[in-house]
Amino acid sequence: MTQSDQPLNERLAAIEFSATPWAYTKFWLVNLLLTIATLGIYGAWAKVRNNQYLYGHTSVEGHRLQYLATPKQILIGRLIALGVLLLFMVISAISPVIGGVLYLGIIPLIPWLVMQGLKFTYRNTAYRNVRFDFKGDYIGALVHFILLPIVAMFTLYLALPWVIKKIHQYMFGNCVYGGRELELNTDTGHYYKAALTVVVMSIVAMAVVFFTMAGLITSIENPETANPFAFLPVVLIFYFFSYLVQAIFNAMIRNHIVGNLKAEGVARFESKITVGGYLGMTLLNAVLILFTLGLAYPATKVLKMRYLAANTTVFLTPQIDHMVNQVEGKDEAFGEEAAGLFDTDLSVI
Amino acid sequence: MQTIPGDYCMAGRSSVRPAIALLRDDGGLRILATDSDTELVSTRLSECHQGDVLPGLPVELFFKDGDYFIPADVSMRWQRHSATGLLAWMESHLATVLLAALLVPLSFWLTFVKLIPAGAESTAFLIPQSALNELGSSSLKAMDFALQDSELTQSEQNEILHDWEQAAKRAGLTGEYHVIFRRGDEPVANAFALADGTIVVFDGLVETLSREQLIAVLFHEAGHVDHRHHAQMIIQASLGAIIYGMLLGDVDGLAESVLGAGLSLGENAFSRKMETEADDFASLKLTAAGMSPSSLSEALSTLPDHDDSANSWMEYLSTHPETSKRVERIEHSTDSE
Repeated sequence: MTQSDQPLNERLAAIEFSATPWAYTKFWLVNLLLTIATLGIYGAWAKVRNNQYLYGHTSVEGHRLQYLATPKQILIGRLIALGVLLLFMVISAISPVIGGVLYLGIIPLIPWLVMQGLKFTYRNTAYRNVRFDFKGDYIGALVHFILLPIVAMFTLYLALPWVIKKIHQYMFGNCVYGGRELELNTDTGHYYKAALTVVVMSIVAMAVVFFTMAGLITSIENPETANPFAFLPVVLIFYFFSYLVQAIFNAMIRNHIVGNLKAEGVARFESKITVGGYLGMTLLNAVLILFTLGLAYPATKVLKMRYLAANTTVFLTPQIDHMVNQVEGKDEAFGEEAAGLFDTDLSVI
Repeated sequence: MQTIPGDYCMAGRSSVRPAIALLRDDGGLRILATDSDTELVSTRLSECHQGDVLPGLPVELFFKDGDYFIPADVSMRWQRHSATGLLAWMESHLATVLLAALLVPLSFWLTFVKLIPAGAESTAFLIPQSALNELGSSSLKAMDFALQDSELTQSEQNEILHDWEQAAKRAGLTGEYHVIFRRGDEPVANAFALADGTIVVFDGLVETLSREQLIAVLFHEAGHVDHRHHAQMIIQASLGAIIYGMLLGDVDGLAESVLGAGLSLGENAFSRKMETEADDFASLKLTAAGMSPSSLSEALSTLPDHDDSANSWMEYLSTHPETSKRVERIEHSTDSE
């Protein structure tokens, strides 16, 4: 957006993430342990508290985000989803043929589950008492999550960047806040530029790994006495490049998405994450996870959210003070929970 | 009187007014807008309801119409005791993390070793016999892909069947048992029962054991059928799957392997219990048939340990109690009779 397009009365609102790694680690561990100790029943409460915690510690202009789903909603959704899954297991155990047919029957249901899951998440997220909403429909989900990925496959993934762009548009461009539809005007060229960078970097990475490996193999004279850690540098180089490629792609795409998202007359956004900063954050997190056998997961989550919050800004107009909630928010959690159970959960950037 | 600065928020509206809450010691509460000095709410604390308490976050105070006051101070708590307040306290102390960590093995032991086996045993009758018959014949079909026909002659087979039927009659066995013979690719000295009462005997077992020891093993397998152990296993596996499913969305990585370990520990304990029950059944029936229960313990001692890979494909066979303990138990039951 150029300078002249900005409304004069627009104000800059900082995003603050106030959770600390250690405090969240304790919080997360207690909830995880209580969930396991109660054989998953407490999981519904843990999920709500976890979201309340992370949303609540995220504030825009001093106002905290709100997570409004109730544990009861989640628990009922979970039990129904689990019941359906068990019914499937029993049917497939009794008759593999009927089971197989049923599994095929699930495929058209997947877009519906994804759509319901997105709707549930958006509708239970609020800023200043006004809930978000999602207006994407079943056909849209079917096209974006089943048909377009198939198209990408048949074009030898040449269409993949465009497909990813369309999926992002479905997920974020269908968001509604207080009756105002959000617009996502992303540019296909930008996705291709990011994809091309990834491909070039991957070729460079493979070449480096290949030549280092070749060098190591020729230097080993006697395989019997060879140092078992001789290939460690290759592994490290490989991981470094895979994180680098991810950092480049995520930085390019996230900045592009966030920068082109706006609620006309209410808010627009800006993301300024850098490849170096993002790479540093993900590498640090990877090392933390590795050396703590995964226990550092909550701490890494805080570090990531803190980094993203620090590099994201919102521009608000005075209209933000006059929004009215349009969403009831008594939705079924079945879609969201079934999506989680069938592993079709989406991670939102 | 407490003076608490914060914001006054209207239900479903984004407009927020800076305000202060004046809380009297007797519970009287007034909310005043700081921008215009007007009174927004006048009520009592007991008529309001406190939002969820979370570590490091301010707690809203909700009024009847859904409007609420949110204090600026993140440590401000309206009620001294509340359920979520207790949770928030737990979530911010290292000691409770450790306590909760102790709760996990305790709860796993109680559930998987005690509750689930007991539940499976008491509800096994709910699984209809027709379902068990169906399961038995389909598992035999599946196994026959890997098994060969017996090399025993028809007369050898008939002789064994005759001896078994005689012993079963003397022992007063009521159930329907159908003994069949099979051979594995490698010599296997083994036998197992299927859900429908079919008992599969391997040639290797016939070659290794004396006739009386073989009959003792058949009584043991009949014990699994008599106690409806297959139905119990179905229930146990289903309960395990339900618990696994309940936890699936919440745990991953390390926690998932802890969960897996808990489940398999429970399964092993459960199957050892079933083996002991089948041994007890066999001892009892051997005595009733006028045979010596020690033939079962002899058979157990003769057979190699069940841990070798040839036997592990039938899950519960790899999870038997220690042979020496089983022998001791059977011998003990002989002494007391």
